[in-house]
Amino acid sequence: MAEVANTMDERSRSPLADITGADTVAETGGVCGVELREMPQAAAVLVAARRGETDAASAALAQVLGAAPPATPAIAAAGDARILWSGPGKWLVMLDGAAAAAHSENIRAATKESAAIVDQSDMRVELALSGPHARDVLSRLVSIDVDAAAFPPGSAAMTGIAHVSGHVWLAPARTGQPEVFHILGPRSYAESLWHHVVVAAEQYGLRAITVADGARSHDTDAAD
Amino acid sequence: MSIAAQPFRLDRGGSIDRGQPLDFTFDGRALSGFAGDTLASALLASGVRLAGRSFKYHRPRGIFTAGPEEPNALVELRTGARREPNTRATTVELFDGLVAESQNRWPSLSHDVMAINGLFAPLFAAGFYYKTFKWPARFWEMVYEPMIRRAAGLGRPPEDPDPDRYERATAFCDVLVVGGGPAGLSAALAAGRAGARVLLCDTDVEFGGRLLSDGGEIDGQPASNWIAEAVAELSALPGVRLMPRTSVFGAYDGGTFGALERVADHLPQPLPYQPRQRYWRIVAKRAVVTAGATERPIVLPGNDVPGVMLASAVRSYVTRYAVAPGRRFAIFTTGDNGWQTAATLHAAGCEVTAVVDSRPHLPEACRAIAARTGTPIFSGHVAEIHGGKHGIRRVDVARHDGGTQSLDVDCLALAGGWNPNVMLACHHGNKPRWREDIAAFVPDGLPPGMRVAGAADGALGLGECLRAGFAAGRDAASETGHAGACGTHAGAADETVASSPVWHVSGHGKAFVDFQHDVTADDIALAHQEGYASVELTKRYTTLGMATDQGKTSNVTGLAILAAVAGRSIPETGTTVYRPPVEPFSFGALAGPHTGKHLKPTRITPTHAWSAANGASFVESGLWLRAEWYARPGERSWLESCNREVRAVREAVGVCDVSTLGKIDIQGPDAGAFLDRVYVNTFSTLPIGRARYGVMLREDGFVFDDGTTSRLAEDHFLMTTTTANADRVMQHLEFARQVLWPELDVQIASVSEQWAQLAVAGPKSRDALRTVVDAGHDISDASVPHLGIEAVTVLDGIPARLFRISYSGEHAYELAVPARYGNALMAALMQRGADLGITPYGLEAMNVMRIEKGHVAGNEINGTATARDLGLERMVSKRKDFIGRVMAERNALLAPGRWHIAGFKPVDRNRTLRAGAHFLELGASASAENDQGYMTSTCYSPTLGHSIGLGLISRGHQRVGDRVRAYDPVRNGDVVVEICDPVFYDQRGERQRG
Repeated sequence: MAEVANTMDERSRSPLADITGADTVAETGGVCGVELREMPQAAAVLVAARRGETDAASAALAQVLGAAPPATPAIAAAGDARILWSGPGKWLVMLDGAAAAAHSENIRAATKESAAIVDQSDMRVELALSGPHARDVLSRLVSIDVDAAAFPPGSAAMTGIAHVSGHVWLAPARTGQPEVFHILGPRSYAESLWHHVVVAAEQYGLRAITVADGARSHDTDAAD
Repeated sequence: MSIAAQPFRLDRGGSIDRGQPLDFTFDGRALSGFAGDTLASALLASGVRLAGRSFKYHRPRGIFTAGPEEPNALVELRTGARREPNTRATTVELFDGLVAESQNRWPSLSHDVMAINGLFAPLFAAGFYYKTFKWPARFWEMVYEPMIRRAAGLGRPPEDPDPDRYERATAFCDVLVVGGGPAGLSAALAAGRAGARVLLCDTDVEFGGRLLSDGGEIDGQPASNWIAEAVAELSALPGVRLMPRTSVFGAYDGGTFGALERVADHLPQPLPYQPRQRYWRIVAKRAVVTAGATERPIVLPGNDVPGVMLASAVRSYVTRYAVAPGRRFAIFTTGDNGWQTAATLHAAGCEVTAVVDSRPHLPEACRAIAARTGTPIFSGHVAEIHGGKHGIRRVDVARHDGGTQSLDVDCLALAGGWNPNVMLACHHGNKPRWREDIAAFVPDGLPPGMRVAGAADGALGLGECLRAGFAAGRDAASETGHAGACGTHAGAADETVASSPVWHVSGHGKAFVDFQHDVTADDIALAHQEGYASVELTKRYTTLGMATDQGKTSNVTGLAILAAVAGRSIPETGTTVYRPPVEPFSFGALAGPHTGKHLKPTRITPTHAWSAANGASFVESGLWLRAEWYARPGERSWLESCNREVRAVREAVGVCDVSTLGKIDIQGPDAGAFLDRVYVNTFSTLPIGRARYGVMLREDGFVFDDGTTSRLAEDHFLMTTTTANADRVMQHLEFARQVLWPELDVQIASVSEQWAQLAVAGPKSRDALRTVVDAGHDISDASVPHLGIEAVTVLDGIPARLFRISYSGEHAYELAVPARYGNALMAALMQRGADLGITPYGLEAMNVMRIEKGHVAGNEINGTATARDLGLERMVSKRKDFIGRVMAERNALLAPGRWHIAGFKPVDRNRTLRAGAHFLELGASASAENDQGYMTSTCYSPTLGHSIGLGLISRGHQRVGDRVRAYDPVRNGDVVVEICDPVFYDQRGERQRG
């Protein structure tokens, strides 16, 4: 049943469709200290193990996705799939890219006996935060320790983010790639969440881009 | 730029930048200073001695200290919306263009007519207000309080909204070091070298603490070199973070500390997007408090005249700021500390008239300073200080040998010993311990994980500070698992710091203990005489130590005087409770960015954009912003819009966003059994593809929530909850699943945010749906009967769920699509259904229709109503157990006189009913004992053409047809109403089934 949405679909609306990005780099000394992006809406399924079936569900997921689901607050990545720990015996599997629909059917089939599957593709807004001051910005938003020593790549937490409940994680390390923090919050709170991240980041020289900004600039390019 | 003269600036020295002159004004007068000055040092350099007027007596006051303990020199800083009252001039870093005004004087600081209060000083003694303004009682608010507020007080708050930003932030560390003096720098070095994550906070802009003012030698080099090297090394250590301009103001549970960082207070205004202040919540595994000590004054007659100053402050001004705070100095000391000031003044070329030392026998070191500097010694005490608003004219000295002497001086330095800054160590309720050898309180029994070192621990010698700080830092780091090599501590001589305290020299004139609250030694004696013997009572009766400076220069002295009056020892007298904050800070910093409309988050519905573009007014409903009605051109009132929307639903078709309802996905082999235990009615028998209305109770038997739950598959249900209880029901179910019945195999997940859900209601609703549901899906009444559900696709392949449920009472559906498509679905329905007369309707119309149908909502499910009270008794299963069943059968909840749901119509149909009106029997007087219940929901029913209401009334189920008064004294409402069935419209439900 979970048809995976095509994000270029004009019937589809991103959670921050009414928001225009921000650029304070020039006003704060010319250096971009933080980059903030609204991520395209990934397909997402919640996998909740049946009673006593956590190991079986975990093994089934590992088989389908090619990465072991974390048993503690953390995120694992394999190909176009990201597996976010969401509680004991619960994982949120985010599926990017064209194969998402097929992937999601495979998960459903593989965990038929061991887990309940819930489509949560439209429930959230995902923000990506990078740049030398990303940790400073996070320290304004969450009350957990996001220092490199305590929150290495692959760490995740379910926590309060500027009065909103959500997930925060640091993407698993990839050689040559800069560190990117992700914030996942409820869709209806998207504008409030965005506001608080922007306000915390502006002082460091912020470049903030929503999905709608991307679409608008794409339109402009096309017009050119 | 014209630089005003600085007649008291010394020619050499200081850590000010003479290459960077700064202009500022004080009470409109143009003055100047240098970068590196505080406002206080710049005022003194300019020869300004009168800095403020006191709280009660409006006595002229000068700058008394050089730090955050300042009781006198409070100013209004900046102007307009940025005006900040009660700012301590001693902590304000000077910037170009600074504007400061003195406070609590009229018409000017120099000529303050309120100084007449001083003439009536006997009336203003401790307890004056309590005794005087008692009668008549109503005069307190109307006359006395406004009068007192005008006469007494400090600065004026700004009237405009604060234009600045504030931030809240969290930091974690292994070792927090509070205070960056010699002990703190040593602690940070030891912990940092060992590999610990270290935070070093200091209130000052520069690290070094007293070293910045007192100099000295460390490791055989000038202290300033050692500071520079230490700061450079700390800056280079990857785990160490230096936080200057940051005051740690409170120690809380679990190693949590509160701190305020003054990010932009040293600038004329913050840089673009920069917060003015940042409130830090610091979580530390270990803390080393090296907060130093505060010098204490000596209480003696005339001690509040401008020009009287702490001896350590005199050294700060001379050494750090290159300012002579006077021309001719005298020093009154009870120990070696005053002699250090004499040496400093002498070295700067200032004239020291005499040092008055209270000790009969002087140590050799002090005699040596006297001999070297040629300073006369008087063994005795200062008996009285003479002077006025222009400062000290003369001090009288009484020698131990009986002789007296007058000294013509304009500055008197007081050195009464040191009070270790024990506040943070005592915030958990620990009482400090009295140490007789240094005549001071030191920490005793610390909060878990805290160490205290250096002067804050009573270690007043430099060598001892360096050693103890280093050891504390090393040990703290080691306890957090960082035991790397940390080298050795720096070394310095242990200078003598002997002192034998003199608290109070009694005499004829006023001798102030607490300058900021104008509390004198006599006030403390009076409080004791009137029976306020406990130190806590004395504090409250006299207000000693209750001003913005928190009594930093007065508390210990005050209790020493109380001890003497009471004939007790100081430890017997004890201290008052220490409470955060150590320093005052702004509410703005506490609030951070969560102000105005950002106090709470705002939730946006999936169709918000369409509604905003189509005339919707929005209303806050909890955190949600929801459309309340959609006004059309020409409509004169919201009621007109609302009535039109109701008629459209009743006659054609309307559409309303109901996405805010809570939605919970429930799966698992035991899902049906789980729901049977949660709801009063049975769900395990619900056929697949059908929905059922359910009611759940709280454990105590009262109604908790209601909604429809559908069965999607044998082991898969979808529950809906009310908007208001969406989160609470989820919590309730999680609790039931995890704690009450872990044996059930059930998985639950919130999907509230996943689905945009539109109610499509009215006789033409099926026709409207047909325009968006893809061909090939049968949505006929046979396929989707009342309470049937169907999986369909809409708008060319978007997966959707169709529920044939009705809240309005009409033939109606709710259509759910993934949230990203909600807005497009709304737009498509409105466009394609135009010929059917499709109309968007808002919260108001929805509410009208649910009242017309007698559906209970939050107003009725108010936590005091049972299922029986709400007319839902026949839903309650007798054949199974469920949450709340037992408690719902308590006698009190079955009592016949309980308030039941009923409908109400005004007997005179033109009258308006109002929610909140109470029911009275006709002819009964309006008193609480005659209360029969109250109106819970009312509206104008466009369907019936008059006002209608729902309410809870005693024995309501049996009283249909009775008449009662609906009495509303708050809004002058008094309407005779007729009790009726709560369902006003289509009582047999034919419209929704048809």
